[in-house]
Amino acid sequence: MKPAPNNGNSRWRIAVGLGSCGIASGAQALYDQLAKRADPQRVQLEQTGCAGLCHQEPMLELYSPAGDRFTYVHLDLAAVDQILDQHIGGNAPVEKYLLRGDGRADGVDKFLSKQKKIVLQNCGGIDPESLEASLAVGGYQAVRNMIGKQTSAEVIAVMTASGLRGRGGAGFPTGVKWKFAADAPGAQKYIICNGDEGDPGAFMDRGVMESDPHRVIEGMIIGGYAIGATVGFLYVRAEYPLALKRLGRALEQARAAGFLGRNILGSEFSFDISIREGAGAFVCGEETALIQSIEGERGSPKMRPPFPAQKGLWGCPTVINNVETFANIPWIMLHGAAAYAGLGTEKSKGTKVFSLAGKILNGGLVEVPMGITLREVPASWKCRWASRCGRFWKTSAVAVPRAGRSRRCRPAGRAAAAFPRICSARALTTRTSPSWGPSWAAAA
Amino acid sequence: MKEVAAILQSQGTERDACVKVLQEIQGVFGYLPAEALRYVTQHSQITSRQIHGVATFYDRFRFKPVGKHIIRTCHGTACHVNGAKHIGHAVEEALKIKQQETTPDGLFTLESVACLGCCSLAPVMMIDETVYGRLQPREMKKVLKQYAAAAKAKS
Repeated sequence: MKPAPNNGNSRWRIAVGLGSCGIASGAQALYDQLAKRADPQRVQLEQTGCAGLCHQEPMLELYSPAGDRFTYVHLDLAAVDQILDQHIGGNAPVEKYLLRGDGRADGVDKFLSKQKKIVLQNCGGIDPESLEASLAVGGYQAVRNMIGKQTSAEVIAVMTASGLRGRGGAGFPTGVKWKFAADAPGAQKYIICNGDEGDPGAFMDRGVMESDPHRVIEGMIIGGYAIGATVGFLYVRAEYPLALKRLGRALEQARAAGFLGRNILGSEFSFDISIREGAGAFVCGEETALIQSIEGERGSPKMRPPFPAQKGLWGCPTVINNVETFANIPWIMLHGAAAYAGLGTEKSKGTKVFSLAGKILNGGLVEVPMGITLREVPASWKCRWASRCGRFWKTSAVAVPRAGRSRRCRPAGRAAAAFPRICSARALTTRTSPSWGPSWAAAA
Repeated sequence: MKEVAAILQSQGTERDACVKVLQEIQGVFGYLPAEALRYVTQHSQITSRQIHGVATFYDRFRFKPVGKHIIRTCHGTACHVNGAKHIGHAVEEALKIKQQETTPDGLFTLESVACLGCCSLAPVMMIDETVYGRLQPREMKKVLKQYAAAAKAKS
């Protein structure tokens, strides 16, 4: 969560978290209530996406005219009235619903303090349906810096130097993949963003697409520039209607602002993106199946090689990257490869977003540097029940070794959350070990 | 078949438009009516074989009409752990229908889905495009009643 300053605003500013999780917890009703009751002269009402604190939903952020920030959580309609009357009316914070700082019994502080936000930088901090909000926090700055000033080879070199590896699961170096596609012969090339996040328990990509859609689009534009593509596809599963809606709106805004379309920002570079909606096939998260689906066929995986980077969509060189991979790219372009490579471990650079769900205290999204041990994330780990209950955490990053089939990941001692070690430490298992044999074991 | 002709015009008549064309047809009719599919095969490169292959491959496509609201109960891992089965049973009981069936009044169709991505709020269900989280059977019934009441008020 990036604290958005109140920019000399003389009004109170209220931002309600309206991601799928927030809406499912009743945030839309709160928003409507606020819209009805709040005086627009005194209060500026906004929506934001998901702050990653699913266990605190529904929640809102309140910024006072002085610039102080208050996070209200576990709200209901009565609480909203109280906040309006007591806090905005009488300048007295409503303690009962305030997300407190230190010493919270359920460890919210720890939940937040170990995090390093790159992908989720703006999630929960900006209005996902507003281009201006995105521009205000540096959206499309990387594209502006790149076009006309850097060659595609330079962009690929930055990616390679950053050490970014594909966040879809296989962990293939992004720069290398881009170079294959850039070097492959062919006049027509494609960029595909894989938003078919079907693995049960994983919702990192949904969070990003719903909360900061412009970031994904910006990553795709940079990818298109690097490999020389003119067309991009965003493949998003139909089960994410809110993500589809917000991405669609973001594409229109980006086109109107000249970040997409013919001669982007007055340059020679033309690139446009269209959305393809999934139709409920889990296997389409696998790249060759996804390509078949865009081609209008059954989503059957194909043997590789040839890899999509050589022969992909309609037989043309195609780069497929995951949503989270693309969301990393603008940051890397802005801050430099060295800054990114400075995070994480020797072989796994940067950060990784994890979705936490199951029988745990603090479910939600966390972004931590690669290499952190599974024990360190764990304010959220603490089980609601005894230590042997079915706690699990799921991440498609460490959990999709092949063909889009996910595996369950469990805490295995001090296993580090990074690509090579997670496998060697046997943190990944497909079978249930008897000591971890809760009732849900048969689920996968 | 005016609608289908318009869809073919906007999406194209090549084979690779198949998934999009079917999605749009379903968007208009709620399902894939046989006449519409026949029209597609007669007026495009898309063959009946391809349509059958594609429509039976993807879970979203259906050949039968649906109710006004589609209920999708989530059976992903997190929901499964948190009692998705009970929610599914409770819906079946409350509406007196089974999975993939539609209520006699044409109000609800019940489907299940692999994962809605709201795992931290499990168990969840989605009615049309609205997600309901941290469900208990009792609350779920309340939600269904609201929909039924709203439909009644409209008629």
